[in-house]
Amino acid sequence: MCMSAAERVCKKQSVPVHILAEKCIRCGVCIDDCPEAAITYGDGNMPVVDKAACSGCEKCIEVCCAGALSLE
Amino acid sequence: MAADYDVIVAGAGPAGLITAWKAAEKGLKVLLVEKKSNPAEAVRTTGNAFRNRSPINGEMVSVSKKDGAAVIHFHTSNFDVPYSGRLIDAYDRYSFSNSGYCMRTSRSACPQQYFYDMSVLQEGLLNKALGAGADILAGCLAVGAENEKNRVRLQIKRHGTQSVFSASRLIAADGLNSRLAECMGLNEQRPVMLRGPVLEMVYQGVEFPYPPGFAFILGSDMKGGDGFMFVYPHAAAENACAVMVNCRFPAAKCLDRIKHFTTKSKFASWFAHARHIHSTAAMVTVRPPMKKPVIGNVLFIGDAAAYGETLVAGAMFCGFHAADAVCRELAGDNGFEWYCDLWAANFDFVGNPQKQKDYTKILRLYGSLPDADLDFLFRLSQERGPIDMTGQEKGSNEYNGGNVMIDYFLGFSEVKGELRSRLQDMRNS
Repeated sequence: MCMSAAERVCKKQSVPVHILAEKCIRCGVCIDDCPEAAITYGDGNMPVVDKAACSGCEKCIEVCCAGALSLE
Repeated sequence: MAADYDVIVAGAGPAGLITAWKAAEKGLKVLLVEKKSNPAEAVRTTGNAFRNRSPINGEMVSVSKKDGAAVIHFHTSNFDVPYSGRLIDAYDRYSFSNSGYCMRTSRSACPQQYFYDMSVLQEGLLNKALGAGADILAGCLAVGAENEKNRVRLQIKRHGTQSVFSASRLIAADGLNSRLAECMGLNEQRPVMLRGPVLEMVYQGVEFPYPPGFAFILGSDMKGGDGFMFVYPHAAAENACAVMVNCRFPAAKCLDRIKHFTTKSKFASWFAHARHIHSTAAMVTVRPPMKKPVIGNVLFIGDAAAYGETLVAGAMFCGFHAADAVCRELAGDNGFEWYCDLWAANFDFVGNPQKQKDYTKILRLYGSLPDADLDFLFRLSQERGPIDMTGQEKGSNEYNGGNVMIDYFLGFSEVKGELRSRLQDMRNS
């Protein structure tokens, strides 16, 4: 969404991230940090990944305090 | 073509909620867009405390209690915010060094801080906004905005589908890591100065052996590494305390720091019978503030435009005046220009690099002194007893707090040589 053309060219092959509900603290830091806006809040403030939009860049994994994100 | 709304407010934090409430109260057609599906729930780490009667950023906040509820007064802007949750009076503040020496400040005349429950505060504000007639779209992420002649189109994403709403004006209150600021190019002249994760874990049954108050934990053995750590009362539950840490990447280190502090440190006994009840987190990104937080028909308020943070009271100040700014705009006056002047005049960090340095001086000071020096200074302080903070003139805030502490340390005749020089250098920085 906010990516430059160069970043889009460098975009990795899509490997969507997975969120572990039992570890997630619902803080939404991953939502703010996703360059593709691929994560939004679902029911009960549980983040949900739009797998079609996820580029697999792993930024969300780096910023998660709870260790709740991993590549599928 | 007419816009869908007079104003869309993106972000239902303290800034956006006040704007939505006050704008709806003034008769505007308001849409509040919030990324959380349950907008009131507090999931983002904040200090959860108002500094009481310590003026900062053009505003002074005080609290009065009546019949089990409270009112938060904003004296300069002349508005009140109702609050019905638990409120904890904190007359004291503490700082602990590596060996456990305690420097304590106390203000017996009135509390230095009031700790509140952010979820209750947000729920009260949300009900005010909805009661005044604002519409809300919850679970919707504001992903972009485009200015058009005399209106703005906001793109919203929900469950993988996008939609667009239009308004005469947009208030971007989407926080410290504002996606709208990034997408609209407002961060191009704002290089990231500092960035790091924050984790807060709230426990019930903590045996904090002092009267309630904010505690700064400084020793590296206490945390098992770098970063800053804080322990403070939490109003979410009876007898609850929060432990908050910020450190460097990877973010998962935050959890290790808190585990170390609560199970292995000198103060682990405080947590011997404690039960973890919930956690919040945040990503602190410090950029230079927006000097002019406006682009076309979009105004950025609160942390979205700030140097680090406006603090909750500052965010509310922004939200209150943003509603007025929109009304002025729609009446044909340049309300956003008026707001920009207010922003620059009241937030000392806007356009003043020295004030920006002062804003972080206490953290720079404590971050630069070795454990042994802090043990020495805090031991001297502990021997002298609590520092009396009575009287406004001694009330410290984020801007003068660093210099107030350095002057206090320089008042110790035992502080000599290299340590005295370092303190003086920091005082002059």
